[in-house]
Amino acid sequence: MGIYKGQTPHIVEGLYMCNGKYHKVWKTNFNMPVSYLWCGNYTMCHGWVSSYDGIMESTSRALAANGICPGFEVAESIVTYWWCVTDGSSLVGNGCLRQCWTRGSTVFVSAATPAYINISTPGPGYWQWQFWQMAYMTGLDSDEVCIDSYYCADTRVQQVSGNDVSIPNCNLNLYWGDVPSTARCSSTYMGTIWVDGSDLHFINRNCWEHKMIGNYIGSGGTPGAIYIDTNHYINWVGCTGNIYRACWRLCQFCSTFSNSSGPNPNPGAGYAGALWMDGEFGWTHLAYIGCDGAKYITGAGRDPIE
Amino acid sequence: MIPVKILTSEEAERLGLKKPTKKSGFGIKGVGCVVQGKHGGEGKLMEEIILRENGDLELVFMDPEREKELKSRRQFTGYLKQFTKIPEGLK
Repeated sequence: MGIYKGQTPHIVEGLYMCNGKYHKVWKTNFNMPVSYLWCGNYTMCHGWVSSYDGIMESTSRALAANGICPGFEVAESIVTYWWCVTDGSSLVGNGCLRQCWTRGSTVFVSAATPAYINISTPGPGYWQWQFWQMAYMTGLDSDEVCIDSYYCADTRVQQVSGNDVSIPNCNLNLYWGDVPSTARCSSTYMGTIWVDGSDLHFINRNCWEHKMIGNYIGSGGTPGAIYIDTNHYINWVGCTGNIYRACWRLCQFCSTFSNSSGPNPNPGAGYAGALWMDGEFGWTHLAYIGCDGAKYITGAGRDPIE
Repeated sequence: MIPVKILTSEEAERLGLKKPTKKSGFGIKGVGCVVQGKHGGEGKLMEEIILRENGDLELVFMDPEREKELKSRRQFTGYLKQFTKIPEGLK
């Protein structure tokens, strides 16, 4: 008979899911919709995650040198809590799954989720596990990663009632240096969009200037022109007449982290070409209506589901 | 190609182009599962739970063996109370 419990925490740049999907955090915009983040097959070792990309705990990084700007995610705390009973044992109790990011002694973001652990085995020769897998991102913002400092992902399960289901805290540390300023420009400029050289610049809803670097697709355009192509990508013409296409776009889901129930917003093709700085999700992206009448989002940073 | 017409966020909202804010917040922020097996053998998925961003806890799947075992311990009803949504067959 036995009762075992523990946690497997990481700080990562992204996750490979068991269903073959890749969820990227590093250098993506705040809270972009991600399709099917929590979907896939189960394995006893990993739960939903097949592997981690860019494990960064106990390391140091120079953020500015890596092209980070305010409004970009920089890391994800991913933790798998587990409880196991064997050979006729049982474990029944309530706990609170806690996950937070700290800077020194300051907790700058935290989440607490109640969990009812209830596992039991039929008898000798059997085992039963219960898993909980949680993820929590942090990004460059005046409230989050904003100064050169040690940062820490703190994960734990606190006991609430019943059998002891608590799991001691684990702190994963890393040092971020050369953290760029998170200062905002005047709100007067919010929504401004322009072409500078080969790139598309705009002031997002957080009043940060973001720069989209597109893929070169041709020449002969009218400098400064912006349009939506038949594949629903934003195109723009650079100062020398070269035409560029945005590296990514997403047809909007109804969720911050995954698609979920609810209608896909489709105002109709009559609105095709309408473009604005959106105030949904992380306030960091451009929204527009594609040729098919659906709402799309794009922006600076990397495609979160490459 | 469609020329872009730049709107303010307020204009987009007035035209009904923005997704209603109330629709966000229903994604998934955590998952849980219960797996059972014999020593030296493969595990069998007994239960699957998802936690929504709005705090809703949904029971997606429960194996009949798990249901029977919880009922034998007289904990089935109490266990289900934590969920805001359960499969039709368990109601």
